[in-house]
Amino acid sequence: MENSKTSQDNEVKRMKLKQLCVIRSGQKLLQNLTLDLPGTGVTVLLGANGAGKSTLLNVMSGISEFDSGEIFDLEQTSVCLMPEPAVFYPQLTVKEQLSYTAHIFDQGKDLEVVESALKLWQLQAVSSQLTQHLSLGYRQRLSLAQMTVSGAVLWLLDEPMNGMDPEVLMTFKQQIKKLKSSKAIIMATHIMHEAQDLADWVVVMHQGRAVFSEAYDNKSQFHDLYQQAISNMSKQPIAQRSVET
Amino acid sequence: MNITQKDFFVIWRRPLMWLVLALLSFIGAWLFWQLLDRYSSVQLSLQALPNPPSITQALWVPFILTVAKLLMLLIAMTSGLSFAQERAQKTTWYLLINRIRFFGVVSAKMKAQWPIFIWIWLQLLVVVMLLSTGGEVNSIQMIIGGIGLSLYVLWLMALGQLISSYCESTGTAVLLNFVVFVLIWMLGGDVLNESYGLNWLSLVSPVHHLQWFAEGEVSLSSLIYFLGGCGLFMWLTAMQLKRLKKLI
Repeated sequence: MENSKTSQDNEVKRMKLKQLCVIRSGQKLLQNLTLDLPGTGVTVLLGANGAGKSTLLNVMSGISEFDSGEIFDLEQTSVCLMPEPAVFYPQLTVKEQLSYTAHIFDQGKDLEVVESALKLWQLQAVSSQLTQHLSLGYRQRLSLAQMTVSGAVLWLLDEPMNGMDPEVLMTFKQQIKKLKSSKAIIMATHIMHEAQDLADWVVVMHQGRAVFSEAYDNKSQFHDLYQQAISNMSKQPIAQRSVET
Repeated sequence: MNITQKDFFVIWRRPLMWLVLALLSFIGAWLFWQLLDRYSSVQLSLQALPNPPSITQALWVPFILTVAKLLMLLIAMTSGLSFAQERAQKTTWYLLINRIRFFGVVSAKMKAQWPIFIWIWLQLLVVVMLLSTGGEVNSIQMIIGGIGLSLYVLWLMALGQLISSYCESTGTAVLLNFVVFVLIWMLGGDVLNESYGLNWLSLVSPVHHLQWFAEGEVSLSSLIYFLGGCGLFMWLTAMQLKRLKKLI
């Protein structure tokens, strides 16, 4: 496809975001956000509603433009986003939707890619159904299948575990564990206990700022880590309320 | 499946679209029959004239203008859906992700409306066949008329897509498209140039350019008007698509 970046021979380097600001309707959604994220592995974004997690994912995916700041080493990277809620074309069948996604992301042999994604995410039974008739669980599966067919090296997942049944959740975790050595996966979630198993890096966001960003050691609980980051931040003067990396 | 194929399904899987096509075909046929009927009734009087109009002159131009008016509704719907629907169902991100330039997206969406051209040429073919049974037809004029009608459709589609890219609801986009198309048509109406010759305002409207094509006249200004206008609207739509990144 014209003008889209190819996923082949792409490699995610360490991603750096510097002084990123996003303002919409006069409201600051991201405020001088500075982050240095690993090039592979799972980064979990934690934060309350309105903390700026989804905005950050939108900006990193390139579908939303930032007002000031810089993003380094993302220009040549193929990125795929799993938005929340998952949105599809209601007039397309599951198979057509995947075929379209494969084309958008320049996956040449899209039929093979689509078939394997259908199998992986157990979507064969509904492959001929229109996406508008899918249940929430199947919509999540289709969204994940889209990530698979995209062949992108940077996956941006916004609340991926919402509405997942235990079986799909298990497949999801297996896949993420399998892929995290070769891909950069950034996941915004409220389901902390599930994300804990997968995380290599954790970022806590608050009011458009990253107030904590460190490698995750699997020792502390996400909940404690989050509470600690928020209470540390509230003790700091306003001018220093962001991580210096 | 590329953007054109996807849009093709999105547009043409709607039963409403086929209903409108059927309705327009019926109205087109009915109006043509009315034209024929009227022509037959005044044929004797026309023959009394020193230089009576041929069957092509008498029926072809009004028919082209009738089809052009009918097409406004169909194009308002197809082009109105193109971007407004993406925005309404929040699927715009598929078009924006990993992308720097958007002209390709705009042209791909335009291509998805190709069945309209088949409909037009089928209508014209049937009319040509019917007219050829009643007398000698000017085939060159008819081909030029068909090309003019196709250019007019392209122009309207590009304008419709531009309007659609500014709308977040499909209903608003379709309605706004239709209102704008009708107003532009009215701008080229005969009333405007009754007193002072050809008013410049009527040249802003596609009506006169289309009429010239229907009469078998190919002018460079009309070609530039249709193709240039189409290119300009498409470029503006691509710019608007880029601007959407500031709204998400």
